[in-house]
Order: sequence, then structure tokens, then C-alpha cells
Amino acid sequence: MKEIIKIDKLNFSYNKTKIFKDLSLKIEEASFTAIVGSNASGKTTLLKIITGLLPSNNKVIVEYAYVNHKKIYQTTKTFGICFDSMIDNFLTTDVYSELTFPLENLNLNEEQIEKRVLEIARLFKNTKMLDKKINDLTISEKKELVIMLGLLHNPKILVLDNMLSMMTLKSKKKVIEILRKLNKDQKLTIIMATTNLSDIKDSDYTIVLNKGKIVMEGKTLSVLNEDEILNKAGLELPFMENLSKKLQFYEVTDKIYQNMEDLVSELWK
Amino acid sequence: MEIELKNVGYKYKNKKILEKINLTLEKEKITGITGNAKTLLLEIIDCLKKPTIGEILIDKKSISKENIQEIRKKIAFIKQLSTDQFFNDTIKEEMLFITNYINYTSKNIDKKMYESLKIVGLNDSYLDKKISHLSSGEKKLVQIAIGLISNPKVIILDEPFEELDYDNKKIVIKLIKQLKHKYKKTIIISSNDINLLYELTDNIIILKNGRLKVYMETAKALQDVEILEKLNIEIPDLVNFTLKARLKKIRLLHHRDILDLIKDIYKHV
Repeated sequence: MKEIIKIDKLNFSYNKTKIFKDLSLKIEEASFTAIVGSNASGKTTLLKIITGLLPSNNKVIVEYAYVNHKKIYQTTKTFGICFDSMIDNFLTTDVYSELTFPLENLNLNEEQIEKRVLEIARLFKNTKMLDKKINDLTISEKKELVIMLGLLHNPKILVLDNMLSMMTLKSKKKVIEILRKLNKDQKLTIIMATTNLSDIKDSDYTIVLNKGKIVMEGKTLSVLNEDEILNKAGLELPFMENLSKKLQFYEVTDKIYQNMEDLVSELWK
Repeated sequence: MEIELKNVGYKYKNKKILEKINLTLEKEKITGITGNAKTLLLEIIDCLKKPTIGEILIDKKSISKENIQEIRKKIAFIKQLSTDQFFNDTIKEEMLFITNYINYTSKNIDKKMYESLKIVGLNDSYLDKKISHLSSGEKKLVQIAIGLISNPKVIILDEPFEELDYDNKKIVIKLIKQLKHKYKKTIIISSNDINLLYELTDNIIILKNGRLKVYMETAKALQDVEILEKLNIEIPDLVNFTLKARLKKIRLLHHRDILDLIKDIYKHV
């Protein structure tokens, strides 16, 4: 697999507080990567640097080219950007105009625009939403809308910051399913930052950040095995991982079970 | 303070969002609310929104223009997004703004400010800190401290854990328990996290399609698979595990803490 994003010894500070020191990482093309870390671990800053919203001084390579903070238009088509705060910053008053506006800027004709908007609404199984006013949307719907906006121009890389928090379980499941599908079928590279470890089960690869440092990275399943490092980084293990780990401590089981039935049948054969 | 909702309903643009809600909140208990239109119900309980039908009785008296100011001083509403609650630069300014706004007259407002910060576990130095410099965990604690200034009887928390990471979640959970046991507050929490509600709350309200479907003891409601399936609510992990074990004829008890469950499992293997 070839890498689509490469960061080499990145240094970054806000005012005088150092956020990253010599941070290096690679993200593979068409992978589903999760970046996990507690509040203030540097997740959002890292995503902003990758997407060029913050300066990186030629340390970040995306698709063989340096990301340039001052010429951000060079990379905007590559990225679909979904940040948590965007739910408070919509440009228009209704969902349909909100979705057509970015497409108008891409110089598409009316027919193409309508087609694309419907396509994206169908993908989210929510064509009803198109007639709604933005003020009438629930938080879940607003978050879905932000993801729709991120996907509108068919980006190569989708960046999600904290998008699954505050969502209802139903929306969460739907969104994860859609992401998984786009990742498989269209080879969309997904980078998802979150504080919640139960949201990352569907990702392939996980990077754990703690206070601006990568403390662990690897296949998601093996990362979830390392409870000590995760707890130290201020992260809560999902129920099954937590239970298996604790039972392991009492020498009742010998490995991590992700499925409850498997564990029950193992305990009482 | 006793809060009773009598046949309360709420219409928005001819659409019934809430209908026929009858309930009396139990004093000095933690009540959880889950389902649709949670925030709206909380705002009605807070007397912030007037129901379109029905009435709210506070200590058996209905609300009028004369007593609403007094009543609202006794109820603190902690908003889901801290950005929606703060208007000022520093915590001190914010606290003075609130005391001014609710006409709170106390000879020792300074002392009162220190006390409420102390309850949430922050020291005096926080008074002059800028709100924008706080972490999201600290913001939530400050939000609660500001709510405590008028010495309310009832504290309403709208999705308090959504913005928080594991460590901060633990701190806020501990604080909520303390507010109930030590300071005898009545607490209402809305959340979609059924596991958390199961561990934390005494009573639970489940809303669906604008109706109140369940209002009973949390343990009773969330251990009843029939109720949960009918309302399409996931079974708490702890309950689910015990039920799965019982299918294997293992007599596990229901536990609301994972460590108790593990001790019980240990006895049975």
C-alpha cells in the first residue's frame, strides 16, 4: 500500500505552548484510520495541520506534494473536511441551499447540482431532510449534514473531527455504515478523530495521541488490547474489552473477547 | 421543591412535539431522561419554555408572572454546549453577570463565588481565569459552579458528558453523586448513553414520539428486556451480560458496577 499522507518531524506551537515536537506519521491510501486521544491531546490541531488550515512549514506531504497553508486552494479538492464546530456555522437557512451552495462554486450546471444533492441525500437515506430549515434540525441531523457537505465534491480523503459525539445511536450506526461502504467501494481514505473508543471498532488502523505525542499506533484490534496505555492517555475501554481485561487479571480468561456471546460460552462451556 | 407536570404538551408549527406528559419529580434523587425531545422537556421543567397545553406546579402552586423569577433561581440549567452558556471573558465576570441577572442579593457574593467553585473542586485562582483558556472538562465544572451560585434545589444537566473525555467524565460523575448525597440536590440528567444512565440514575424517564413511555426506577426499567425492545432502546451491557449468562443457567445477579459483576462471575467459574 502506498501512503497518501506523510508527516515528517513536525513541530508546532500555539503562541508559546508547544503542541507537537518531532511528530512523524504515515497514513495509507484507502485506509480507515482513527486518531484517538483525550480532550486537548492535539487531535484537532493535527487534523488542521494535515488539511492545511494551520501552517506546517513543509513537513506534511499529501499525495506527493507539500501542503501549503498559504495556498490552501491547492489541496481543498483532495479533502472533505468535517469539524465539530461546523454545526454552528452553516451559511444558509435551509438544507437544500446549504448543499447546493458549494456545488455552485464548482461551476456545475443546475441539473448536475440537483443530481448530486439527491445522490448524497439518498446515500444518507434522508431525502426528507432536504426540505427542512437548518434551525429545525436536531444535533444528529446537523452533524449528518456536515458530513454530507464534506462528501459533496467526492474528496479523496475525508477528515472527521469528533463527528460521532452527541449523535443518536441510530445516526451513529448509519454514518459508520456509510463510511465503511465509501471506504470499501470508492477507496475513500478516512481519518476520524474521536475520544470514544467504542466508535473506532470499524476502523483498520488507530493512532493514539497523548499530550501531542503518538504513544501507540497499530491495527485497531491490537491497540484496543493495550488497556494501560489507553487509560494513561485518558481513554475509556469499551465494555467488552474492559470486562475481558479485568477477567484476565483474575485469570478467568486468557484473551480479549469483543463478542459477549463468545465470552459467555467460553466462561461456561 | 416539588416539580409536577400536569398533562403538559408542546406544539411547534402545528406539530405535536410533546403530548400528555404527567410526572412528579422525586426529590433528592437523580432522574435520567432519554429518548426524543429531551432538551425540550428539560426546558419546560426549567420553566424556560411555556408548554402550549397543561401546567407546571411548583410546590403545588402554578407558575405566574409574580413567582417565576423566584422559581427559576431555585433551578439551575446546565446547557449541553458550554459555548451556549458563557457570555463574558472571565469566570468572575460571568458569575457577577448571572447574580446581577437573577437579582440575587447576598452580602457576600465573593464568598458565594468561592464556595461554588470549591464544591465543584476548583480553587480560587480560577475566578480570574479566562473562559476561553479552560479545557472542556473545566468548562463543564465552571458551568455547574455558576449554576450553584443561587443555591438551587434542582440541577438540570442537558447531555453533560458528551463533550468530555474519560477522566473528566469520571470527575463530573463523582461531582453529580456528591451533589445528591452531600448537598441534597434534586438532579435531572438527559443522555443517550444507556450504560451511563443505568450506572448513575435512580429513576428514568423514557420518551418516544412525544409521549412519556416509562417513568420508574432505573433498575426496574432497564432490566426489563420487554420494555426495552418495545421502545427500541439498547440493553445496558451489564444487564445484557447477566441475561446471557442466565441463558446458560448460571445464576448471575444484576449489577450496576462492573467490579461487582466480576466478583459475581468469579464465584461462578
